[in-house]
Amino acid sequence: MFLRKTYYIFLFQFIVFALSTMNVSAATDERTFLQMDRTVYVGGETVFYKLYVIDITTRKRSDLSKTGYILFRDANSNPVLKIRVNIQRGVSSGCIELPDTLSSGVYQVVSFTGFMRNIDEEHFDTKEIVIANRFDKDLNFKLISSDVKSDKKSNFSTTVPVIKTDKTVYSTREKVRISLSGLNSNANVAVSIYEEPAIINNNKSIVETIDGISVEKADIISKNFYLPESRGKIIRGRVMEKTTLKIVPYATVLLSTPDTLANLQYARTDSEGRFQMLVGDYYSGKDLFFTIKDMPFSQNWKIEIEDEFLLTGKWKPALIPNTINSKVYLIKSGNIVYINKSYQLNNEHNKDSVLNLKGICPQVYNCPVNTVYPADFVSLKDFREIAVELLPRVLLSNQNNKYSARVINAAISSPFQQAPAIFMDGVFVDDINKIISLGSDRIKKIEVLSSERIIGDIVFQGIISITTKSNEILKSKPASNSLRVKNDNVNRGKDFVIINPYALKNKKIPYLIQVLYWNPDLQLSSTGNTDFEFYTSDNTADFIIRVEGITEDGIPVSSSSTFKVINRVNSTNK
Amino acid sequence: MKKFLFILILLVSSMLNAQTNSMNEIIDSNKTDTVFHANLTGEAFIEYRGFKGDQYYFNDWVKSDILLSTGEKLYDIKLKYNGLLDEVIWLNTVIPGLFKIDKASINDFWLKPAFDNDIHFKRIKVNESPNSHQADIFAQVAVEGKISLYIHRKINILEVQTITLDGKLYPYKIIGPTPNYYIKMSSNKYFLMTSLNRNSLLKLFPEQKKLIAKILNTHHLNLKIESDLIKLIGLLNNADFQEK
Repeated sequence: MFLRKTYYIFLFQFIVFALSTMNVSAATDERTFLQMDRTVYVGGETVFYKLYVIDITTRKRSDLSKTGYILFRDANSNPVLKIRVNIQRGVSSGCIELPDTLSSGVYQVVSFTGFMRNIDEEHFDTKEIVIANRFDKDLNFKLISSDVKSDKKSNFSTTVPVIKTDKTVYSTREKVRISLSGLNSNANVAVSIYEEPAIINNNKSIVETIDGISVEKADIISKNFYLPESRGKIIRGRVMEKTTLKIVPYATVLLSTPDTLANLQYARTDSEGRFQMLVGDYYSGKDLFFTIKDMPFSQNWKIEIEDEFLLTGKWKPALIPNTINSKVYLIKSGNIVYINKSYQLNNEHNKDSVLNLKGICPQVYNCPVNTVYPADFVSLKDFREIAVELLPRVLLSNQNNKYSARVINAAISSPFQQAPAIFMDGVFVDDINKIISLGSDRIKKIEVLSSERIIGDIVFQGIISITTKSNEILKSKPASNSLRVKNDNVNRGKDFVIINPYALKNKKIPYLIQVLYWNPDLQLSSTGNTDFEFYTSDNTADFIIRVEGITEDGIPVSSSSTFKVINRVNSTNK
Repeated sequence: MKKFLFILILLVSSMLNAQTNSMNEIIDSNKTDTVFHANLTGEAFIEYRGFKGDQYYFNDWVKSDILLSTGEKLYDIKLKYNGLLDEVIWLNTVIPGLFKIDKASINDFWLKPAFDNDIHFKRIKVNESPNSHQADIFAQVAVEGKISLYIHRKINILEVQTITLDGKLYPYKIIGPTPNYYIKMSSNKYFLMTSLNRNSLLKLFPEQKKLIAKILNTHHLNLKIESDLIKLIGLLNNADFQEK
């Protein structure tokens, strides 16, 4: 009797534990969905996008990750474009300039967050697009074989946004009025109106994507290491033995970047030799200098930084030969790009493609310091002379043509036992010999701190920080235990601007566009209609209106409609 | 009784499970903040002990929070406020050692004694005397509003005595609190009160003498008592008190 009761207690506890563990893993997971203005582009054109980050438990926009990644890769899985975006309240929108140099072909666009690296890559959102090089006259590339879409019904009792146009056929350069309605709750959607391409595309809608999300325990591959990037980009790396590639646990890795202020942050490697650092907006677009602190002379360690865009899974699309129809469409698209470039007509305006971000500088010191400007004194040929003549608290000694430095401790007026921390142009350099050749002609400012300094849990016995006149740090060669990498900029892009053809200065120029409208942030109300308007161009074609988004209740909504643009002047003449 | 005990065990076990998991969720979502926190910067501090009297606001290490000038916040670090030097001293338990935190890097700090309310200090820029230049000081926040009251918990050398030890004479400094009171008006102007009395306050606001006197009489406040000055500033915030 007692055994049976004990058994029930343990069984009950096990069930409660299992259920609650599932909830925890679900509560810390998210997925992305990338919406693009269309599916076929010409090199040199702009891709307008909206990236959603969705919490898979609530199915609402996730507020966790603030950094997202968009990777373009070709049919051989080679990355061709890497874009990092800032996410605010689960959404990011902007534009990406496609390089002119991309070869014609099919491309995969993969979107994910750093936090999603804890799960299998197969859960990353993917889109397939076609990019044509406008200088490619043959266009003999292959397309993805188009599958027939399944008619599987959505699990969501979705309400579909009703798209109403004031007409079904429009003339060129005519105003189009569109009204969206029919939702049960408020929603935020992106609307794209673009020429119907002659190339079939199987990209999933937001409804299909969210519908297909499942959380299985087996999917979680590295739950602990990849933290959500809720305060900015997290850079990850490893310290290892250069030759044997044996991991180095518990090493201290320092990071600084060129600046007028000495700056430093650090991380310690874990038992697997891995480390991670938060590189916020302050580091955006800057050179990052990593150094292993206090590497033993007998050792030969190196730092390896993880590529945040690296995908291990290969993309192997089933390809079929290009069709005549698609070639005709791509030639037309190429011509339109050529004409618009000639007349300098485009739809993007206003915002810079790179955000001017100001982040928090992790300053090494924030206190009064002894500052020396060598230009105020007689010119001295190198740092050795400067130290002797102008820096009474710095002692240099030379052994076998190798210099070493000590700072005199101001508290007890005797030299420290260890070498001071040396900073050049804000960057930690672990060797005085790297600055010894710099004289008054190249040094702008020298700051000396003659006390035992602390930064977090790292202590330096004095600090010497020099600022050069022409950023000498960028010309210096990193030491063997150092690594210099360029941090990417956050992509922001420009807004899509609707052009009124009647407001053009020269109304006689051809006005041809394939994307008539793009709005990544349209609010749909549950109570009334949401109206907007735009103009058709001289491009006569069938156009698709695509609306995709998510309601306040976390229900994905997706809808599309079509209309036609014809040239009434020509048709009347005919 | 047995049934009751059985149900009780089930309930307690499920509640414990639920608690553990909700804790996990909190740790997960805040893990980024706990892993990537800001670093304090400062210099090694050697305490001078040749004083008679307390040089710290609390003599014991107190768990404290710091708001840095970068806007980042650090929690539960062991601090002491040294009123003699007007500096914040940090006990680093990892290295270990005492460090004087760079003053300019601190905006606010909160000493959180286990037995009392949190004490909030703020770095303010004031003239410590009418003829001095503006300087950064740490002052205790007593009242914040249209009119604010900050108390600079200054410790000064009150007297120097000499003692004989092994036949030698040694100077011996007696230190004690000499607080300064800074009243900040809505125009960001600070008024300094070096001593607590009715006259020194009324001298600062001659045009508001009547109003201040009325409040002091109505509420039976004695301006020789610090807590009554704090009450008065609180009441002035509610009254129609204007700087002239």
